[in-house]
Amino acid sequence: MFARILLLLALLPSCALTFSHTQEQGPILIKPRAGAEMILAAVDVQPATPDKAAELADALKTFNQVLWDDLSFSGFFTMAGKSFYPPQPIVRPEDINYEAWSALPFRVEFLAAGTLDLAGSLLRAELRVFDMKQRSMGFGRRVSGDKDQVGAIAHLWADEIVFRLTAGASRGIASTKIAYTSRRGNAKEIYVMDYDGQNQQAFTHNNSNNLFPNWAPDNSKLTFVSFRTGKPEINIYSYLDGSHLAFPMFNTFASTPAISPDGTQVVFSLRTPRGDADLFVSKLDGSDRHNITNNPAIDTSPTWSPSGGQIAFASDREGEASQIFICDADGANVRRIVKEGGDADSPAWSPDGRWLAFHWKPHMTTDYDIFLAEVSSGKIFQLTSGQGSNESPSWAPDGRHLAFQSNRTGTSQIYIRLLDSSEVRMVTSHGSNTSPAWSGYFRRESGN
Amino acid sequence: MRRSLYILAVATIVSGLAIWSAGCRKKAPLPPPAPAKPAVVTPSQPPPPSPTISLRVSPSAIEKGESTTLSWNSSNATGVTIDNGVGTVEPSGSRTIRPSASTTYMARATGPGGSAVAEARVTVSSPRTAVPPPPPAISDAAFFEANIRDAYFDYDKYNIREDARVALQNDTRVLKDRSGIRFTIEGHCDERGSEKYNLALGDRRANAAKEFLVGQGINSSRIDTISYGKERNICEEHNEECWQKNRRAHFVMR
Repeated sequence: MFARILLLLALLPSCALTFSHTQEQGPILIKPRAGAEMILAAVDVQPATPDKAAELADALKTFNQVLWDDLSFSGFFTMAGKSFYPPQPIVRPEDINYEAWSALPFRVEFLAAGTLDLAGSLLRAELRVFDMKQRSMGFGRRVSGDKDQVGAIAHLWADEIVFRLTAGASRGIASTKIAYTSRRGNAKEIYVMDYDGQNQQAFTHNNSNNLFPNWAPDNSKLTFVSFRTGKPEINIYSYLDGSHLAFPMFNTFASTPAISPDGTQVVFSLRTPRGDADLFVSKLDGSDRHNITNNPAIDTSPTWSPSGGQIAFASDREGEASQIFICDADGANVRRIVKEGGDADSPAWSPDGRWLAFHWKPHMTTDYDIFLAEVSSGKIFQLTSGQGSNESPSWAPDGRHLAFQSNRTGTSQIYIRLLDSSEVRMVTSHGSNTSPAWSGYFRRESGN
Repeated sequence: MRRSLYILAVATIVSGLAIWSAGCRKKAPLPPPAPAKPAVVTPSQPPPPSPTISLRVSPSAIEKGESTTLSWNSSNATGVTIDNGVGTVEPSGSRTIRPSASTTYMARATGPGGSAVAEARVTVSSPRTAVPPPPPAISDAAFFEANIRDAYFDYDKYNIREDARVALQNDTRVLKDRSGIRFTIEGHCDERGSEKYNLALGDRRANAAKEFLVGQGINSSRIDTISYGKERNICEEHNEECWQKNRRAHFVMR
């Protein structure tokens, strides 16, 4: 039998976090815990001038909610509950009553505040973080954008706060995206949304089945399997302008593409003349195609290690059900990772190279759960339990969050969570949504 | 017979008279005649029986192109011939004939007693020019729909099990019967497995069914395959009955 150990905080980078059994609390009511570090207060951002209050009401509401959710989901902060805050709104730095703040039953270390202004449809945000111990401004940011970009501005600011307050140890994921498959009528199209479920946009419109999306590491491309020509074929599209990049069609069976970390190659599953499926690697234009596995089994679902030196995949080569294997990028040194049997698929290599996430049913139960295997030791940790079938994990680029699909509410939806599960969010709700693929970081804009 | 007797009687009388007259005349004594050879007398035989023959043809009315049978019986015959190309035949027998026009056949039996003839006539008519329409043919599509059977699989497997073999052998007959049919085999899986693995497993199921048919002599160019994994389930219940329905190689005409 295998050791079932809930994931401990020691796995996470050096930022302090409380270990919590809580599930899915409302974001406003996070109580501070004794001894917790990095207590962050985020007061509501205010209209720059009172006369703009009415027309800025919606933008302010969105900004404040998005910022709060981003900051609490990052997992780096204990968010000080707004019900404790001194009542005075903070528009200018001198509005901060440090005495009142230090009288709170917990010690707020940092306070985020700011204003929004509106000139026509142009939104101007002036945002600051104050060091409450030093009683001075820590850093600030001015951002402008169209009024309907208010959510993106809030994401940007949340990422800035994470980056600064972790002293550059971690980039925030608030501006990342998730690609996924969404059933629309009789077809399944690829959609892309903000990581938090906002701005869901269709990427394909071909009225066929489009499955298993995967990002190029720099987000410049999306690859996926599409039945738009009748057979399952590998499709690669530019994410920048939506153009289709030429790739061979095989007219047989091709599936589960994954672009290499250096962005120059793609690995995928392809039918062989034997009738089974092997893993093939080629350049992004399909040239230099060669198989790296050669086995009369089904080999599928490949994922690259972050160095590009290894590939993990699923195969039924050792028996009846699919298991997880690792090999070198040229196919040598195949070794099995999950040894306990059952049925496992959909491996995803963590950005720091240390973990494989995958879904597995150790015994022939109905439901899958998400597991982590430590690549070096083979130790296995269970991340979900007793909540429907949970499949298709995908790592956020910070290596601290996972997206996955779950049917725990009765329909298949996309969920995101901090690795230790203290923050779990359902980010889709309509229809049937599967196969999340978390993007890489988008190019970080320089601050001022 | 009477006539023969009469002739015999006359011959006897005549020869008797000849003998008497030679004995009654007294002449100079002649040297005693050599003793007379005795007259050769053929013992009287009944005359040979006359041959008989009968001839018939059945059926006696045929359509052009059809055949019929001549049959005959003869007696007291040493030779039987039939005209119109039949030739010398055994005393009794039959022949299959296929005359192209109405013909009267004559059979002649000959023997020591004489000869005999018999006739039989065959009437040959042209076929009807109006052919009755054939019964309406069932279309390939309807035939396919009515007769083709899907093949079913065990969980997580793509091997052809016994009932699938029976179904695919049936399908082989259907496809050999209608050699113009081209079709696609779809591979499907039940809801339980992983989506990525199931797309590959469906492909193996479709190909396993195709390989079986090709092995039975169906031309592979008639067969296309595609996998739908668990993307196109035909039922949604969470029980084995529904799951089995989905684990199939499904045939669709192209």
